[in-house]
Amino acid sequence: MTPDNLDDGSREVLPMIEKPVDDAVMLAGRLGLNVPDGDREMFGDALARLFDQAALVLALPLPDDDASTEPFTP
Amino acid sequence: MSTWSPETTLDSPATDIADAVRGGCTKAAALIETTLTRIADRDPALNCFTTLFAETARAEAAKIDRAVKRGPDPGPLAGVPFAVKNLFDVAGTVTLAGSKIRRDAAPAAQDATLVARLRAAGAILIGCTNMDEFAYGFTTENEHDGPTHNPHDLARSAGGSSGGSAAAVAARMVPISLGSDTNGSIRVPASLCGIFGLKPTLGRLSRIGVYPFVDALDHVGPFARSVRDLAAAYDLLQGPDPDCHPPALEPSLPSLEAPAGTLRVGVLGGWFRETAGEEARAATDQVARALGAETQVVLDGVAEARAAAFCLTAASGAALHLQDLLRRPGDFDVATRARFLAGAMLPASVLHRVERIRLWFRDQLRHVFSSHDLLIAPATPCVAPLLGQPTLRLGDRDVPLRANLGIYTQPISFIGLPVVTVPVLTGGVLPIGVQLIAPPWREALALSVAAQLERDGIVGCFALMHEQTTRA
Repeated sequence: MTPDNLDDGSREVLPMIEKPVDDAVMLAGRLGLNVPDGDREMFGDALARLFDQAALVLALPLPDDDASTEPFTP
Repeated sequence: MSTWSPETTLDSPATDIADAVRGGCTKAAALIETTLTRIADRDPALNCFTTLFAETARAEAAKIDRAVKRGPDPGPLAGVPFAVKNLFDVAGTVTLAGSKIRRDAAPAAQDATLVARLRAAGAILIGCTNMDEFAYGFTTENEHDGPTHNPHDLARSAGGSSGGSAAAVAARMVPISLGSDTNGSIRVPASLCGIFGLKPTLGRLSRIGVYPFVDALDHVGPFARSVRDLAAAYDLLQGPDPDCHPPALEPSLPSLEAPAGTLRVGVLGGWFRETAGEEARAATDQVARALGAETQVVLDGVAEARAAAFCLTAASGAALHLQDLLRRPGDFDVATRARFLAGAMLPASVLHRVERIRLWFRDQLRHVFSSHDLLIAPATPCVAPLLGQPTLRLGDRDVPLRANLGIYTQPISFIGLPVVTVPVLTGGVLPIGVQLIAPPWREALALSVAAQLERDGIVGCFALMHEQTTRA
């Protein structure tokens, strides 16, 4: 599930392999979320795609000083 | 006093329709009958409408005709039929939000603020329109209500998630409609259907009575076939509201006819350019040439901003629908369910980072707008894809279509900037739109530039096939 190139947001998302899908379905179950059998592949793809995007989010180097919290005011 | 045929009147701009009704040139009642006949004729092939209000529309039309005769003035949009995405509350009607789950909900007690405002202006609500389930999609392929077809090619998508509203305007069934835009759901269908769409600044228009999706990203706005109609609707939709940032009133119509003047226009490059298809690039270049835009602006961290919007959407949607995911998962559209389930598993550390990226990206744009008045970018990477098409070509890669049709809209709505999507007259077989992105709260500027482009023949509502044939 680790993206090979974090700078490339347009890369194709690879489907999760069978074992991680099993693990993900099991972990969802721990949260009380039932993944129907027919949804396993779609759920695995959605989770892989989402975690690839999350990896981009976590990898962005931000300046130490936080940006302004000033909203766009009229 | 000349008489207008209702059929011709319905094809006219909304402001002209209202003038005709107020001037007694046509009856609102006749106009509504023509609208209903046209919907009966065209909608079976398009599937824009999920609910029609034929009887209440007739009653409202009769009331307007009486007011024309005896007073008081029935309002600036007197007799103009309009439609709303089925996530807007309409008193006495269940707000579906494109779902099966909400079919059990109680009917709305009152109209959404924006619906009430258009009605108060004399416009007549004709129906509610199709959308992606819970607004989570870019194609309006709804498992419960069926897909909405593109009026320019029935085999293709109208875009989404406000696809029904956009296609209803493009197909001349109504001159004005309302949609919502969390990640691109006004701008994508406006682009693919060849009409104008306005996504105002976050917080400009009231969301009271609009079924939510992502609080930090939900915008609402109008579709129309001309800039004047878009501006007229936008002006009437504004107003004081606890949901909005004051001052909320800033009419755009007065400045619409004035030349836009010399503007510093930048073309967004990098992310917005590298993967765009040929039609999207050509349309953007055409608008850039017309506006004398010579500088290319390459923003940092666009992929990450888009990724942050993607994560925020999945997590917020999952949080909103968690109880239904736990209790009745089988009632969701399968594609929605899979993404919400995934969103429910996103770590909080990611969401914390999302907010920091939002502030950082917003600061960057604040800086860019200190040297630019307007930015332009494609609205979609391609023209309307086929319904059911699984992938989209982005640069040299095939990527999942549903997740990527909004890649140029998501980074912009992530920080709430106002955008007018304009249909570019490229001479192509299918329409495509370009985003005119203004600094925050400068909707009037974007509308004024759109009006100038329309006057210059660079942009304009994409003609339906039978109109093109007639003109040829």
